[in-house]
Amino acid sequence: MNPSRNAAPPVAGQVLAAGRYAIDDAADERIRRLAKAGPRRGDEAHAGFALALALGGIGVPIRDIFERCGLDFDAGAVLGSCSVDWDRPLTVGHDYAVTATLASLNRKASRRFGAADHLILSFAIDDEDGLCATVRTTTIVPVAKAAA
Amino acid sequence: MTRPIEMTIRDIDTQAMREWCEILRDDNPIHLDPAKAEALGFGSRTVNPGPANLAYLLTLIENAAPGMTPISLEAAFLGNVMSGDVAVATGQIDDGKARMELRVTSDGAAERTVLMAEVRLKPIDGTGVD
Repeated sequence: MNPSRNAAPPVAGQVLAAGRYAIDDAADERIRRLAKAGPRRGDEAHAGFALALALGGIGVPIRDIFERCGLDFDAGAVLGSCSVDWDRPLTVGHDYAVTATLASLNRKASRRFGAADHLILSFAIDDEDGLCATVRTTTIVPVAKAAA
Repeated sequence: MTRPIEMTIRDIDTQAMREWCEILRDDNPIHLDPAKAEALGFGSRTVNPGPANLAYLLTLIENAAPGMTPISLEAAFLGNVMSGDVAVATGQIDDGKARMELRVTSDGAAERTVLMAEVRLKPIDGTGVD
């Protein structure tokens, strides 16, 4: 972990980014094509939008979050696990606010890499009536041997 | 009642990966540059973004249980889907819970599981099923 010199490293619970994401017909059709899904029934968007909004709706590229946490995004970062809790389905024709919060960042031993940083981010997806979904991702970032 | 479900995904290619990366605002080079993927030890092909792999499983649920909607999901990414791979999503739905996995074959190698997920479902216009 190597946060930039001019910024204090983020702490657990800190909001790292926030943005908005509108799900329209074209966006839903695109996700459905890529996810090999059929046409939409009703107004419920493809469930894969939970991850699309979490990563794509925070107003900045996901790379920026990693760099802010002092992580080398180009070192081969991979998604290790995720969870989603839907309070309500995400629907087409809605505009959502998305907030990314740091849950934890820990360095762990890795059989493959020697050491790896585990970054856990929590994403809240809200509409005008409140929370719609919460997404939690764990990303594993290999640590260069010199930095381990 | 347990219902087995299955779907095969054949056209996992670099163009689709680029589109996922646009949507996710993710320019991780392992998804976009085969040379960088190889230099990082992932092999000579680009890596499908994890959310794309999970989306295949969610499509499988949508196809198999059109009257249900997810209320929670837990997923573990155990390996990678590479461009050119054939992926098979399988699972079963039992009492409002879907247990699924995504397996891949590539270059004649043995099939391997790359993603496991458990999803709780409820009727679209009803309450949770436990």
